Amino acid sequence: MNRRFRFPIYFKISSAIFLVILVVVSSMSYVTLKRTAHEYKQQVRETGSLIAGMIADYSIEPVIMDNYSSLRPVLTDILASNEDIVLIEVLDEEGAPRVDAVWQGSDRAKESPDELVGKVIEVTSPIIAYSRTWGHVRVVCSLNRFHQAIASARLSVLGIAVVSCGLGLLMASLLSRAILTPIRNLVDHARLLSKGDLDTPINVQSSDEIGFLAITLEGMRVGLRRFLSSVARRAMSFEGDLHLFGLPAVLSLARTGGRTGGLVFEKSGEVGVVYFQDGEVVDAAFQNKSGKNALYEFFKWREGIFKFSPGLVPTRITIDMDWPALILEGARQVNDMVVFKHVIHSPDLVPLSPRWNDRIGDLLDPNNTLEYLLDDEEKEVLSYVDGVRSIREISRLKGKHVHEVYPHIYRLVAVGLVQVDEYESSQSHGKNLDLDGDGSARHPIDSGKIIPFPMHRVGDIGR
Amino acid sequence: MRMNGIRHLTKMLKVSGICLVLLILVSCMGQHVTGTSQRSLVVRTALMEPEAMVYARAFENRTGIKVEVVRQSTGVMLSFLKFERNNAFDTTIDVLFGGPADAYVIGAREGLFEKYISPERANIARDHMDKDGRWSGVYLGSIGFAVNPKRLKALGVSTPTCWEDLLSPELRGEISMANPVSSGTGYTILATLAQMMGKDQALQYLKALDSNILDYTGSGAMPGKLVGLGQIAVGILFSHDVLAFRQQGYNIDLVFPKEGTGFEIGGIAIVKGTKKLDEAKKFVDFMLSAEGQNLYAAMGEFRLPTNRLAAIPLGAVPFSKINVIEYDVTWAAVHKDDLLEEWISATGDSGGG
Repeated sequence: MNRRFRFPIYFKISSAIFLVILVVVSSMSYVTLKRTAHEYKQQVRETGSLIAGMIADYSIEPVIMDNYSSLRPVLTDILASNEDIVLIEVLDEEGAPRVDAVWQGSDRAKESPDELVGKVIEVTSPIIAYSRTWGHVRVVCSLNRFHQAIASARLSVLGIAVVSCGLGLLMASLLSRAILTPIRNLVDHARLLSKGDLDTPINVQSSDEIGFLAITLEGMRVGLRRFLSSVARRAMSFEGDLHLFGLPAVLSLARTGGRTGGLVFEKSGEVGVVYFQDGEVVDAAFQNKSGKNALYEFFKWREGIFKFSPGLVPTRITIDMDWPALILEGARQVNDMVVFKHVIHSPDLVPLSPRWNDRIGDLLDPNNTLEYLLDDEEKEVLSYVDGVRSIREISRLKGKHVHEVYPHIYRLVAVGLVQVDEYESSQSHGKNLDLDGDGSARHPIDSGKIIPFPMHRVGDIGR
Repeated sequence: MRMNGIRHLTKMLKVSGICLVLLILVSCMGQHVTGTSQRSLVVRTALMEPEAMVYARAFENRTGIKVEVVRQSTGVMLSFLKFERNNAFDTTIDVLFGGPADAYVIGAREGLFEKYISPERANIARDHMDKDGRWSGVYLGSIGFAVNPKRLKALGVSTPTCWEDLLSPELRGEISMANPVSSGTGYTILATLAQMMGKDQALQYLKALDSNILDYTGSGAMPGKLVGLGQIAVGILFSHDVLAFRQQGYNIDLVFPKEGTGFEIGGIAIVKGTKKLDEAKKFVDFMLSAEGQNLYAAMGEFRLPTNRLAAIPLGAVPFSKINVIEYDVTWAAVHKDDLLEEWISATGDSGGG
């Protein structure tokens, strides 16, 4: 089956919710990160200006007197204790660095000015004393650590997003699987039910609505099974009179449906059984006979009743023959007009061949023909069966008495190659088939008068 | 992130705050102690840095001994040494160089210095050094007024020629001198006036002068530069510093007060416990030698050498030409704490850096 894979609904919902959360969290992280970055820079700037201001205050005398050596220990300490500050220098009034008044922090300060663009924040604070600006203190703060922190924070956010994405998908799939597995089980069970399997219990363990549905379905299965078994019991334990049906028809009926059980025959106190296993005759018992011999005895019965019992299960196999051969051989044992007439009620009946019916199946297959089982006479009689000729006409063609044809017709009917229904030949009613007057007789099926086995009108079949 | 930033800020504030406070109070606490055998000879000097560097480089060229110069006001240097000693730290300073000798007298009494009788002391007057060799004088300098004639003219004030002239109300906010608490120069002025006028009158005078003072500076020479730059009209400082600024081209005149003036003996001493004793001795020898002190003249400085054999710089004012009082360094040292305390209560200025 070329079925397209479809995502379960719960997976879709979970994914959608998860995506929404992911987008919200990501955008919040982004905004927070951006604001934090802004505030961080602001604080670096404030810190820088604070330091610059303090140094400026302290630098009045060193700047005025060019005594920078006293600043060195302080600035060395500030630089050593704070990686972010890369450069502190005193500028003169024109903004040029004063000689001996430049203190470098880490190695980063040695990068070229171009490299430092965007990596540093510069803060200058004026050195004001005696109502005069003496110069400026310039503090250069590196943003390297800040950039590293931002980068690692971004990485963390990304990592968390990816992990939560994975977890979300996992949870969604687990959740959907947890919900869908019992539903699938239910669907499987329902499918089995629809196929007619009423024996597999619906066992879906779930305490929620699905469990409730499962219990309901199980109740339905049990109810259906109870109902069907009562119907089946009735259907399978058919019974009747041999006189009305004829043994071949009874055996055929017992065989259809692949039944297992015993077909019991009874006649004036005598009882025999034919055992079926999955629709095949496997055993027969009558008086002290068993196997084929016992089976063939029933063919000779002129009267009796039969009943199929599913409870009579075969215990042995004494018959191992193909059905047609077995039936044909059984039919050949019969030479009793009374028995023949169970099947052939009148010589005016027109034997039909089920071959005409496309739906009949394997009989139609030339490779699977049963004709090899037939003897010459049977073949000859079969060749006369054309759906038009009555038994009487066939016997006339054969140049024999009609009673001499009966056994052959009986055997052909028994084996299923020919069917004799209650429809009489149109000719026997004096009606000319050649109604059109063109000399060609119309096929009785075409004329719509004959409804072939199995009781469908020919016209319906082709539809 | 934000917390990090705040922590950062707090940390920065703490570090810089601690550093600055320590520096202001007890000088630079954070001086890095490099390996004692590797580090240079550390010289703390009250001299202006560019000048001190010249002597240091000359010494380096002569001996091959590396010198690291750190400029510090005399009072701060002494406080730092006491701080190190009181906390049993290994000293990070080898030599104190320059600054009025009263601080050296105090340091010697407190046992902060090594005794060293340099052979060069033979050429130095006995009054200009400690007899036990704990300190020696490297230069002499008298107190004078630095005046900016242009600014005085603009103010319509005639050039002050005596201490009393400085009390003129027209000079309000136009005078500057070094803070006596932190600066040796400042204390020399205070001690000079106390010795000259008597303690009480001196304090009264200084209290009156305080209303005319724009600022008490940390460095003794700074008022001279402020005068030179035209920021103020009058500065009280050592005459050799005034002459040095004049030499550098600043519009500045030197005036000696008629009533008399005090002077400083610039000292030099080896810090007790130094790991660089030999190098320190060599530096002291160099700065006491005629060769070393000849640099004053050679470099255009106006300090008077203590070594008799050294040349007196051209343009320097020898003591013989001015009214110099009999300045008693020991008295100044002995009364320093009391005098400062009274000065603080008189002026309401606790001083600072």
